[in-house]
Amino acid sequence: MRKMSRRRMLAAALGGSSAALFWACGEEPAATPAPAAATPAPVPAPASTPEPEVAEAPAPAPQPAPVQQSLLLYSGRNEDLVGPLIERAQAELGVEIGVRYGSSAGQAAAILEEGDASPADLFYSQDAGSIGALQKAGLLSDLPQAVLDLVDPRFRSRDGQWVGISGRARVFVYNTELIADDELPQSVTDLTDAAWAGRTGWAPGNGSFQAFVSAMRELHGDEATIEWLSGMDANDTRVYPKNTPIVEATCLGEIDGGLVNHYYLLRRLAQEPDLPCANHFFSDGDVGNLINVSSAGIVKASQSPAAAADLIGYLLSAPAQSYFRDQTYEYPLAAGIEPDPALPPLDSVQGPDFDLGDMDDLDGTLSLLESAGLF
Amino acid sequence: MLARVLSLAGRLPLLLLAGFLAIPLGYLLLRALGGFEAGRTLLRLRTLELIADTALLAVLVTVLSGVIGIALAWLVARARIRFARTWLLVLATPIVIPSYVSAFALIALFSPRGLFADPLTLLLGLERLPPVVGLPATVFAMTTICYPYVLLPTVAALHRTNFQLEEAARVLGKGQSETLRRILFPLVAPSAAAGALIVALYSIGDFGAVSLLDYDALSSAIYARYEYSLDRSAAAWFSLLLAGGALGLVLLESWIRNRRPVGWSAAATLRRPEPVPLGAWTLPAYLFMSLVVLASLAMPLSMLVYWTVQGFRDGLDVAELGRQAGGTVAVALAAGGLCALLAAPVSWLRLRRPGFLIRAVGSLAAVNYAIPGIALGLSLVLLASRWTPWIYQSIGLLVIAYCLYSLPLALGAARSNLAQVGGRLEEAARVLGRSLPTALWKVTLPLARPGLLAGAGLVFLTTAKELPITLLLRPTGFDTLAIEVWASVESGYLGEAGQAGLLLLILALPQVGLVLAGLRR
Repeated sequence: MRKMSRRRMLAAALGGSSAALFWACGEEPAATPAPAAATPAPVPAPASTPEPEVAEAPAPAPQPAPVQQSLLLYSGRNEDLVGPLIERAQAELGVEIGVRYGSSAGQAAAILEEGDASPADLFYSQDAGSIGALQKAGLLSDLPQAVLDLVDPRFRSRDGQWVGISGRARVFVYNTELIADDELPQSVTDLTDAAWAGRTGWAPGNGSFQAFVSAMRELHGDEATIEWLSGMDANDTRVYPKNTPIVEATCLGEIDGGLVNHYYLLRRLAQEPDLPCANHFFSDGDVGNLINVSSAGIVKASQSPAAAADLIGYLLSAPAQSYFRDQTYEYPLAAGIEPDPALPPLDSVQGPDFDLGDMDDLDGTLSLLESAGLF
Repeated sequence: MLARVLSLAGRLPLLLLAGFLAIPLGYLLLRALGGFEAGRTLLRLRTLELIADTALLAVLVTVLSGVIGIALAWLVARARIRFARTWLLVLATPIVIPSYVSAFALIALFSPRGLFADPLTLLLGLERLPPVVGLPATVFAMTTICYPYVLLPTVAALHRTNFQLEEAARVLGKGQSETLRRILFPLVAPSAAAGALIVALYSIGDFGAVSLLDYDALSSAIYARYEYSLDRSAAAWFSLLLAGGALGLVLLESWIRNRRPVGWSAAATLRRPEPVPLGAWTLPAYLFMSLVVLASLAMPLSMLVYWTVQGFRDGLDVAELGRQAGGTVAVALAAGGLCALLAAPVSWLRLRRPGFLIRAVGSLAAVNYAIPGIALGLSLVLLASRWTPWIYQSIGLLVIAYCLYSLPLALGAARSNLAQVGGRLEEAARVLGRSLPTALWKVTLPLARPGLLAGAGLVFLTTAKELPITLLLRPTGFDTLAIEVWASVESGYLGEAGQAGLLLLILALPQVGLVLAGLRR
C-alpha cells in the first residue's frame, strides 16, 4: 500500500500537468549527480524496509564479530539509497558503520582538507572524478588485490586505489516516433550535422556531461572537442539544466533526442511503459558511450583498512549488486549479476577505451566549456 | 582611567575575535597562494563578464528589496492599515525561506511544464512558456526572500524616530511627498542601508537560486570549481574576488551611514503617531502588500503544502521529523545565543570606543557573510581536523561555524538598538557614582536587550535554513530540517521535503515574532 501510493504520487509528479515537479524528482542537481534520485519501480521505503534482494542475505548476522569495530564512511550517494545497504552490511560484517552523507565533491574536498588527519575510513563517490582527485592527492591506500579482482580492469583505478561499484553509460535518448532506426546517429560527432539542427538537447552544466567532455578531450584532443562543442552550439542544440528534463522533453516530442545517462529513461519507463522513447548506444568505441562508475576507496588515514576493504567487498557482493540493478538501473559491475533486461550487456556496449582515472583535468574541461560559451 | 584599562584589556579579546573572524579569508589566501597559476584563471574576459553579471544581480536584488522593504515598512508603521501588526508578521516571514525553495517554487509553478503552464499559455496566447531561467527569475526568487532584511530594520527605525518631525514638517505646510523625501527618508536611510548591505552580501554569495535558475555569477563559478574539478585554488581566487566585492559594499554602507544627520534621532515619544490616511491609495496599498505576500510566501508555501499533501499518504515519520526539528532548534538557538553574547560587547565598543580594531572586526564579520558557505566550512575542516580534532564534527564546532557566518546580523541589530538608546543614561549612572561595569550591567544592557534578542532571532532564522556549512561540519548522523528538505528533494521524496519545509516555517514564526518585538522597542 505504502509503496503503491508513493509510486502514484511520483507518477503524478512526473507526468501530466504537474510534470514540472519532475525537476525535483528525478535528478540530482547539476552539482551533485545522485543516481538514486529518481524513483525506482519498487520504491524503497526509505530506511525502514530493506529491499528483498538485500533481505535475502541471512537476516541475523552469521558470525557475531568478537571485537566491535567501527568504520566511518563518507558517502557522496544519498541516504535513501545507501542507508538500507549499510544496515545490511553492519549485520553481515559485525561492524558498526557511521555514514556522513553529502555531495561527492563536497565529501572529497573535506578529505582533501583533512589530509592525514582524516577521520574517514572510506569514501563512496557518485563518480570516478571525485575519487580520482583523492587518489591524485595521495590520500587513498592500495586496495587488496582480491577486492580489485572482483571488477573488470576497465572499471577500476589503474593504480589499484579505487574500484567501481556500479556503472552508468552515456547514451542518446530518442523519440521512436520522430527518429527512424536507420536514421540514428552512429557517433556523437554526427550530431553536429545540419540534419540534426534544432532537434537535439544537452545539459552542458551537468557533471556527467562534463566527464564525457573530459573523455572526449583525452581521446580526440582539445581542438576537436572545442570544434564539436561549438558545432553543437551552432546546430541549435537545446540547453537543459540537467538530464531528467531532456528525457522528459524527448518523450513529449519537444526534441527528437538528447545526450543523457542511461538510467533516467529506465526509471521513467518503469512508471509509464508506453512512452515512445528508447536509449540508443552509438557504435562500438564511440566516445558518446562513455561508461562512468560510482566508486569506493579506502582513505589512507584509516585505522581499520581491513574492515574497510570488507565493506567494499560487501558492496560488490551479489545482494548489493542486485540492489543497484533494481533500485537505480545502473550496471552491476561484479558478482556476475546481469543488468536490467532492457539494457544491452556491458561487454557489448564497448565504451571508449579510456581510463576513468585520466579524468582529473576537469578544470581544463571547465575552461574549455567556458571558452565555447557554454558554461 | 578605568576606561583606559578596560580598553587595553579589551584589546586582547578583540584581537582574538578578529583572528577568529579572519579564518575564512586566511584559508582562501592559503589556497589561492598555494595554487598561484590557478590565479591565471581570473585573467580572462570571462571573469569580467562574471563580475558584471554578479554586480547586476546584486544591484537589482538590493534596489528592489530596498524599495519594497522601505515601502512596506512605511505602510505598516505609519499609514492607516488594518491589522498592521499581522501584516508585518506575514510580510517578514519569508526571511526563513531558503533560496533554493523559492527558486523551486518558481520552477514548479511557471516552467513550461509547471502547474500554471496550461492556463498561462492560453492566457498569453503562447505556444510554450519560456523556461524559468536567467536574470529575471533569479532576481525574483532572491528578492522575495531578501526584502525582509530591509523591512525589519526600517520598521524599527520608523518606530524609534521622532515622528513629531514629520508632523512639524506638515504643520509648516510641506506636502506628504516632501515630508517623505526631506524628513523621513534621511531618518530611515541608515537602517535601510544596513539591511540593504545584508541583502547585497547575500545576493553575491548565494548559490541555491543561482544554480537552480541557471544564472552565471561568481558564486556559480566558485561552486563549479568545488563541485566538478575540485580545484580549490581556482575556487579560492574567485572567492577572494567575491570577498573584495563584499568589502567594497561594507565601505559603501558605512559611508551612507556616516552621512546621517546628527541630532535627528531623538527617541520616539510615548505618544503613538496618528496613522496617515491613505485616501485613494488605500486599495493600491492593500493590493501591493497582498502581491508581495502572494509572491514571497504563498507561492513557496503552496508548493510545500502540495508536496506534503501528496506525500501524506505515505505517512508521517513523527520521530524522524522530531529529531530533525530538535536538532535544528538546538543548533540555531545556540548560534543565536553565542552571536548575541559576542554582539553585546562588540557593538558597545563600536559606538563608545571606536577604533581601527573594532571596525576591522565589523568588516571581517560582514565579509564572511558573502563568502560561499562551502569555502567557510572547508576553512574550519582544515583547522579543526588537524589542530583540534576533539571538536571536529561536533555540535560545538557547527555552532561556532554558524556564528562565523551570521555574526553581522546580530551586530547590525545590536548596534542600531544601542545607537538609539544613546549614552546619556549610562553617563548619568556614572555621574551618580556607579562604576562602568555596574552602569553597563544595570543600565545599558537592559536597554540594549531588545536589539540583542532581535539579532539572536535573525541568526536563528539564517542558521535554521543553512545548508553547505551544515553538510560539511555536522556530527555524523546529525540532521537538520534544511538537510532533510535538500536530501528528500534529491531523492524525489517530495512529501518528506514538504513536511520538513513546512515544519521549518512553523518553527521560524515565533522567532520572527521575537525579532519584531525586539526591533520595535
